[in-house]
Amino acid sequence: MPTLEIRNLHVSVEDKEILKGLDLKMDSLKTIALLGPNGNGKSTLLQTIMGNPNYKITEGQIFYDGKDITNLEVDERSKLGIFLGMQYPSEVPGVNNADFLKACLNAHREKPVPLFEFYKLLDNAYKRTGIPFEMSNRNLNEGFSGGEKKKNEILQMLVLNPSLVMLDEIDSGLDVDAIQVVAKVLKEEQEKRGFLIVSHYARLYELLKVDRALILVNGKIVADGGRELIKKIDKEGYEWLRKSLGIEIEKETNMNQVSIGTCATKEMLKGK
Amino acid sequence: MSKSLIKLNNEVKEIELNLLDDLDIEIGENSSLNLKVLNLDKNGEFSLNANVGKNSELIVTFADFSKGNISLKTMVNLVSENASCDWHLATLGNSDAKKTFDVSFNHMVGNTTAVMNNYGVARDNSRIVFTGVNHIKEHASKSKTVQNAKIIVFDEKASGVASPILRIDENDVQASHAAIVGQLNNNHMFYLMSRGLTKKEAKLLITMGYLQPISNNFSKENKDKIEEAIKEAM
Repeated sequence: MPTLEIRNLHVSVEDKEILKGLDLKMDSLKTIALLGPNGNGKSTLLQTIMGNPNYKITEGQIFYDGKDITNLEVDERSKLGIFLGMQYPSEVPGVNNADFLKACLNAHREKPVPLFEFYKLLDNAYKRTGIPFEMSNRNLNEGFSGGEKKKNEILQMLVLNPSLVMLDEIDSGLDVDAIQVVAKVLKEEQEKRGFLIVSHYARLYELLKVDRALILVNGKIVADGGRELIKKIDKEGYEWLRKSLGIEIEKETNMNQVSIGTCATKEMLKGK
Repeated sequence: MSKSLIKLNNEVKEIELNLLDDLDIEIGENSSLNLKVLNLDKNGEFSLNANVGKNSELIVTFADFSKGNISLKTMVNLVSENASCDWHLATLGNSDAKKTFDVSFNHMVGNTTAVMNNYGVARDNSRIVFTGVNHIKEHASKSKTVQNAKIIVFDEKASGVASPILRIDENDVQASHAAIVGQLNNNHMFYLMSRGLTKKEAKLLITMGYLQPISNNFSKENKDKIEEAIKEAM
């Protein structure tokens, strides 16, 4: 049985349709690489699966472990085991990192976590992600560097132990060494959970076991294959889609405003 | 209504009050008063007037977590050189509460300092207003005055006004002014909820993060009372 099943998903952001009838079945414990040019709906897909209210589902359904989660609250999705490592993690002033992690962990449990168990879990997660333990006392993401924020997302994943992990450009903002650290942790976790990973760079995928690669263009999955798709795109770019599959990428007139590292959907809307 | 007078000269004092009365404060020379006021249940109109003398400081931490209406008018006069006032306020508005805090400082002479930090969370149908004038008078050069007023409006029918005013009649001074009224940040809410916190838990965490830091200035007993008051209100 697939863990995640998406049927004919249409999603709009501020009345602009981004996903246009997307179908996807994902088996548990698999790792999927999600590729596609900027502004074609990768982040939108992940945000929608997590339940971000800014992304309106106009048609279609999302199932997780056989349960229809299309209209489920965000926190309930998390409790079902869905996790999103965000492209731009929020800085929440005044909220202490450790207190936050404890509150989240307790939200996933019936009984509050015993202090010693929590400390052990936290210590282990900090060690594995290479974040100094002292940072648990800082405010959530406040004043963290880009790389620290991204590592903190991975740390939260380790603490919460989700069954499906979606990562939205987790490797952007990480230096070469940090990518190695993050990839090592992810690799160790691949046996335990499913991964849906968005990245613009082949590097992260090379460091992981990838079961499947999908290409999202114009709000739909247009190619579904193995590792070879990543190599193709890394070598030839998305031009390859047009040449071999005859797919034209619908370009926004103001797409040239988009630079690497900005959310293309957001940029597109700004230009509206 | 009772009125209290606190008088200091050449001394250092720390006072923690759990009730709110009209207050007059007279600080003479070379003194320091660290005043903490926690209001959990009093409503109505109150005043706080202070004169701060030469080489003296007044530190005020004012935490208001009362349920009803409150109007506080404060005037701090920095009357001699090297007088300073450090003012912190946190308030939480619930149901139909109207809360007004008018906090003003007069820099009567040069080399005086006033720093004001006002934080508010307006919930339900409540309204929080932060006003006041920091006035650097003529001949009060080399004075420094800072105004920070910030209100988070949590619910649709809640409202907030932050309009502190700077009035400067002298050159060679430092002044800064920040006033923000904003809604609860939806991205923060989504982020916290995506980790499994309910809407209510996420709001509580954000409120705590915003208002609780003021409790660090209080005794353990009052610290717990503040935490309890925030939890109860949410």
